[in-house]
Amino acid sequence: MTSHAVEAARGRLAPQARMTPGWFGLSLSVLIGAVLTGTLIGAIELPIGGVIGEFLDPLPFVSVEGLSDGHAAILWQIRLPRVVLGGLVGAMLSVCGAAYQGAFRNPLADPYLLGAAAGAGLGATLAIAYGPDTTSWPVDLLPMAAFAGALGGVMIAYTIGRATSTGRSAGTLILAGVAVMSFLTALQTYFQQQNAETLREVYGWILGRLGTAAWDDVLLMLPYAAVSGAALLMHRRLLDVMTMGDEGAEAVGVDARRIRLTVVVAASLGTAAAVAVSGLIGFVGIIVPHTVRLMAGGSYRRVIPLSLLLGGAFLILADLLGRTVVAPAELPIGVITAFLGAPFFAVVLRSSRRVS
Amino acid sequence: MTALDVSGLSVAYGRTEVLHTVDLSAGSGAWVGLIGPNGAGKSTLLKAIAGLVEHTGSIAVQGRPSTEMSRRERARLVAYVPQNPVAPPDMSVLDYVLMGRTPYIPYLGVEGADDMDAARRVLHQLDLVRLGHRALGSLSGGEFQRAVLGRALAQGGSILLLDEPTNALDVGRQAEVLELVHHLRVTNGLTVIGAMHDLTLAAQFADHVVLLRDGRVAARGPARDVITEEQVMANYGARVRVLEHPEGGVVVAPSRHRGWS
Repeated sequence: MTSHAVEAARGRLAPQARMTPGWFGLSLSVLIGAVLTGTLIGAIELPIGGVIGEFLDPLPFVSVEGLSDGHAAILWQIRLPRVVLGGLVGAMLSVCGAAYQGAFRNPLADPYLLGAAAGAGLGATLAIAYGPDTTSWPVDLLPMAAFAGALGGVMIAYTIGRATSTGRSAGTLILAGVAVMSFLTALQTYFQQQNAETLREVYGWILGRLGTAAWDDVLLMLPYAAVSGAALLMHRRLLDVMTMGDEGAEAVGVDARRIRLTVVVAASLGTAAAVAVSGLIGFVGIIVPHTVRLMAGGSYRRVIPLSLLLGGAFLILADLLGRTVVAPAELPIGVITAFLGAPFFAVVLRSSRRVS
Repeated sequence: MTALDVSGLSVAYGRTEVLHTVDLSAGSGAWVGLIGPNGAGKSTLLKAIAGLVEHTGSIAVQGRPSTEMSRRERARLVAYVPQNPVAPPDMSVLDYVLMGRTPYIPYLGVEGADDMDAARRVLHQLDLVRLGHRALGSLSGGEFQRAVLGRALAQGGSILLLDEPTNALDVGRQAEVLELVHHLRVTNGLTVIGAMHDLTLAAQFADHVVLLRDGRVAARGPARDVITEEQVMANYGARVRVLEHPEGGVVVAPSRHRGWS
């Protein structure tokens, strides 16, 4: 055995920080596999050959037989919008969880547990209940109100968490986040009940629209997701620098506070976009980034892009589970993610305590 | 030429002033040892020079006022090694050393071939090549301190600020790390400003010491003149014997006084 192999066997070698084609290719394959599975399985099963044919047919110089008109309508109007939207939401919640974890140097940070998702919910409720009628506006007010709420939620949680701890405890920030989440959810319920005429609209919004997803929802979310995802991808190396602590990062010439603010704003935008189309879904931002860390190492240069790809795959498969496990009824996707995420959270909590 | 010139430096945390009009200068290639009791302001002085805390007064590096430098420019000239460096345990030594190249890497970019070459040179110089792919969390105390020095060296600066570099190391590793710093000072022409708790080591390695107490300079000069039984009693409140070291320098030995008072 070479000395390298001995060290590797002892678990003392660290994976390199840079992304490798192997990990990227593997994650992309998992995502493609999830998209295919999500589109094939449902109340009416679609033939795999026909679905692949439908996907390949629009390519130039390719002519293959697709699906029948009825099956094609199911694929393009029902299944694919739902799968694409689920993939986008999962990618966003995962990458935003990873980004919050890096910016706050806290392994337990998650859009849901930090109060970002609840803030987005409150913002959206206020926009629906009290906002102007924006049907004639060129932009939808809802995602922006959700963004303001998400950012507000995280900022309050961070301020309280920092004021009440010496900054070393991962649990304090999350306790603050849970308190903020409860408070904002209570406020949201109050405003929701105050405005009975918009109750249905708000409820529909909170429960999420994955079940009734259309291409409009994808288009609503896409620009925000693209900006947030691109900003976080560009900050992946700086998130690694931030692992040296604020002082360590500033000593090598970066402005730690500016980076934290930029990353938190980008992550809150992504969270708001996800919440604006899917409602409140918890734990995705914990499950996916930590699974990536276990497999491919802790560098954000891997965690950020792989969380995007595998987060998308994860939520597509969780949604598939939600709509098949008690068919013909559907389990809300938040139930599936909580069922998997809560035990996962306990494991991360345990290991983070052991490290500290 | 003076590598570092600090003049009238004051630092306050809120309303508490922790450094009062401190002057300090270091010639190129010098090793200045900062000594003084806990809370004297040694770490704060190093942080101010590294640009990590707000201050009044002036700091000039290689003749250039630090106020005229950007954060990145300063990081190319001055490297700071904190007392307890924070480092992710699953990061490799090579990637950690590459962090030191941050001031040369575009804000949203990634390292280039030059940065990889610089990091490899540092690994080679510090005998870390063998450990390049090891996780930081698996290193011994001495190896980790070498990796931290590697990260600082990769910044390519001429001034090295060390805050208690031998903290938590056994006596063998303490000597190893300080000899390495001495070697780098000679071969790379580094100017070293180091806060040191151990007065014997300070006397052996620093060619000039500055004794701080309550945020002010209490004494300065060659170690033999500053580290005396009277100064240690007056500033640390400790009874010690300062003895001649047979190989030069002095040895500071605690002296027991019987009974609790």
